[in-house]
Amino acid sequence: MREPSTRKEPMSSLSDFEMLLPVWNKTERSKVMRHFPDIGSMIASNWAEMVSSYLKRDLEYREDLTELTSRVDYLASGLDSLKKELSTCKESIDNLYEEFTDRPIIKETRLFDIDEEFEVIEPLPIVIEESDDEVIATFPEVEVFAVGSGEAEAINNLKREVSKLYYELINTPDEQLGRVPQSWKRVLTKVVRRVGNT
Amino acid sequence: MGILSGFKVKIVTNCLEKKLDIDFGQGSERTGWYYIGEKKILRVTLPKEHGGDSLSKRIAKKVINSLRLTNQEFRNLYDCPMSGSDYEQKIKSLIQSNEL
Repeated sequence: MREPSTRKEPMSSLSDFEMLLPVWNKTERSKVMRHFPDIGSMIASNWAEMVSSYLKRDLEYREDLTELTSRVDYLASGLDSLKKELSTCKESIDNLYEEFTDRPIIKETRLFDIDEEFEVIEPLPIVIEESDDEVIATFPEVEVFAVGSGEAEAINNLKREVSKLYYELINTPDEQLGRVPQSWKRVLTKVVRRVGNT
Repeated sequence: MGILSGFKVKIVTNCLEKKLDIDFGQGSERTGWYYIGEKKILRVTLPKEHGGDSLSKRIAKKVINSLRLTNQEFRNLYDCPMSGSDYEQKIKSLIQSNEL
């Protein structure tokens, strides 16, 4: 067993006191007390220092934890906002993709013939919109369109529609037509002429 | 789903016939006139759909344009908030402002 230190000066730190623990029993207590008369106050002082240091560290940890929690909250709210923006972006991309894939092939052409009842004075400018499942042929100036499963069908249907519109307009007195139908009538009578019996 | 999607041909036809008194004939392309008084003002075409009971977006847009409505106004007409007389007021105001 190690002999206690013979020095008389007070202990400077807790570690000095810890060195004495192996001899800290009843039989040698008086010896220790003789060597270290102020050991009681030293212990109290060291413990107070220790507790104070722990409390200080605890306070620092708590402050760190609070700051960390607020940072995590801030990051979480940023993450939520990013998620929302990402979702909006995804929706926009989906819409764009849908529009892109749905986009028809558009071309312009002219009609040189309607049917045997009409002579085409001036070729009719038409627009063909071709998509996966339908083709639309339009004569935009008179707002007539027709649909077909293919280009030829759509054009044939459009010719029928032009003919039908022509008769509807020609058989209606001008005073019974609004401004727009009157303009359609003018256009049609400029570009086609009836040559048949009907 | 976009604003131009999901217009059922039957409902559109019913809506235009009942609210706007448009009489669609029979034929490959069904057309009808919208009248104000005795005057033919607008002509609407409702084509028979190829491969579905809903109007395609492009056809829906053409129908909407021929009625001189915005997409939202057509949606209102289809879903009911817009009545026949609301539509008549809109067309009359377009006529008054020389837009129609």
